[in-house]
Amino acid sequence: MDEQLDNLECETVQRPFAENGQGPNKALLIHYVICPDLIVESASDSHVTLCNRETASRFRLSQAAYHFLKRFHSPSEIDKIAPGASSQLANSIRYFIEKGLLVDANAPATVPMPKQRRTVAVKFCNAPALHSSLSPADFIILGIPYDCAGELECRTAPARIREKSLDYEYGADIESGRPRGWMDVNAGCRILEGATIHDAGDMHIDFGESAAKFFSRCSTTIKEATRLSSCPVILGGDQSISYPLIASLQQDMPLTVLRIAPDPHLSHNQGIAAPYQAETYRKIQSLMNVKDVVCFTGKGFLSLDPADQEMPQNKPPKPHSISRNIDDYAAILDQNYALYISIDMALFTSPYGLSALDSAIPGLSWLRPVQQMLKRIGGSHKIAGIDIVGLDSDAAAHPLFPVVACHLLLQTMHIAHMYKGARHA
Amino acid sequence: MHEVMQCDRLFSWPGREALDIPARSLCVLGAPTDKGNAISRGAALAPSAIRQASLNCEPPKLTCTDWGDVVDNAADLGTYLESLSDQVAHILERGLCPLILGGDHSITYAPVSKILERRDICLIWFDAHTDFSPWQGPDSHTHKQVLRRISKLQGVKNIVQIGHRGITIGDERDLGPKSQVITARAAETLSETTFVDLIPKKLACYISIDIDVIDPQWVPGTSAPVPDGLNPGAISQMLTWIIRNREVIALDVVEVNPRQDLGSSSSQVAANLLRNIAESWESQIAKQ
Repeated sequence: MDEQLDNLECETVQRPFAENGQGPNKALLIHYVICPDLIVESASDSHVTLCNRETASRFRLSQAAYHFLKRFHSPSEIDKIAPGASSQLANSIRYFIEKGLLVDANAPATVPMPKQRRTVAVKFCNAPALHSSLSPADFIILGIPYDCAGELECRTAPARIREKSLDYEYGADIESGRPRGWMDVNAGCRILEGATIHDAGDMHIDFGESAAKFFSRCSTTIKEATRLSSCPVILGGDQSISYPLIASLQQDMPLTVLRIAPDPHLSHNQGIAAPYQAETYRKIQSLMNVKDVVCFTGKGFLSLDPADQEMPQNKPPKPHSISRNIDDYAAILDQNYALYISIDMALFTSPYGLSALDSAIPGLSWLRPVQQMLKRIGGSHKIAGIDIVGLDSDAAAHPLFPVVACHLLLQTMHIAHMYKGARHA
Repeated sequence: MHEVMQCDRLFSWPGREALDIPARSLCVLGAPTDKGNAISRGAALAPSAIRQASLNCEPPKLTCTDWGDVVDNAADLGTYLESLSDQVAHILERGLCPLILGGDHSITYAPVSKILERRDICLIWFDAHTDFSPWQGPDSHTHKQVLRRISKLQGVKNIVQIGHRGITIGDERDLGPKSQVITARAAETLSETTFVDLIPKKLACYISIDIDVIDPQWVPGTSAPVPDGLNPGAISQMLTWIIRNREVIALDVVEVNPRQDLGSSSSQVAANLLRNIAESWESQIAKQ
């Protein structure tokens, strides 16, 4: 036995090797090898940190334990490496096996389960990462950098929005310990005071995975998120990501979907499970508990006839009600139903605006009507979920549009928070 | 000091050699530096881009002068600001009114500190931000704290901040007893009388125009755009009101960032504002 093995230390408790019925004799027959997914992340004179690239798990070993582990660089039986292992050594080997640092060299390779989410380095407004130890939050942020349903590259948007959101740092009041919210200067009031936010990271995307499977995973993740918060806030992605979220949320409550976008974008259902972008809202409209889909185009509200989805293909959608007056929102958005708000950033990047013919970005002129509408809605509806989609990489690279996205998200989250306050009052 | 070519001078105005320029005329000085901008580079390109854009404007009736740029060849921003300050002193000695083309907003410290050696001022600060971040000490100049720093200078008797907006962590609408903050939304409703009454009549005005005071649908080319701002017409209007009703001792236009611009739209908006200023400047010369 090597002397340095007396100093084995690998963050494990001392337990008998055969405690759970896996006797040492059986384990001794297996050829073990170092897990091929391990890398050394950092090393000091006394310790080494290993990282499993597949699971992102990290292990801190003493130098002695690390040197002992390295003896399994080629498949070997335990008895060959450490004949007559001491109790401490046996515990270390057990730890290596349990934690997957040593694997059976002859076992068939397992296909790893796709991860649901991955952590992100930069959190939205620097809010805390979602963790099981935290109390449920008012809002959970989830990025879905998926853009395979359209032609625009929107996969960079969640990262860009989060990066810009660091200008609006989430923090707590020292006295009360409650989130302090932010000041909306033009509105002349504080917003989101006391609202708790956690960032759940991004949906893991396996490009090449079927869209139906991916959307199914999104629905599952959203279900999990709604258990942990009042309101999920999704950073897309293209507009197709709204579908699995709305599909999931409408199972628990009837919804009106309010879409803020340059056009209704409703084409006819081609009967596919995973809708292409143009089909998204046709599919959403057909969901059982979605009571209405209303599009706010900046020029007013456009609500489509639910029966229209049965119309033959190539026939344009028929509006059953339209209003150019923001004050008519109450008549159009039924207050008996919760509201899902989807904001398509294409409205603001579009070359069409109000009367701002001389402006460089005419689409930005829609911002004020949208803010006015959100203000009017504020407090009158339960907001079931929020998404922001359609921020393509060209726009996201400019400092302006991630700022617009952050402002709209915080202002929309505020109206969701206002409802909660009103209800509790 | 760097003399710009005649064809690149603002509105093709004559250079330093012109001696027949009336007292209190505008005297352009470029400050092509962006070392005080913590967000992005690019504002150093603005003096040249604004001058170029000014050639698309109809020349103003009043002929003023363009002395070129104070070249930024010092690694240290403080050293550069001293050079800029020296040139401002020369302009003041000639009885002219400095019109500085920044550059990022940190440059405003140089002309203001030089003017304060001569007289007290009211500072008119057009900006989406309050620029009141904590000051890191005497060796630090940044565009985020420049107003806080200037506000501490003796002789800055009054500050009128116009165009503040956006979502901020704290409430920045109160910058101290000598300051008034007029948010962008509030500024939209001001009449000439209400607006001018904010500015003490006895004080000379230094006007600092951070181009991000204008809504980014017209001015996307700036390093820290904030949506929901004022339109260029409203800013022009307010500038005209000040020039018509108060004494203006110097001006600057800062934070145009051609690297972030869509075409040259932001530089053009800046050039149009300057033309509007020049068109109404005769009333300032007459005040003498």
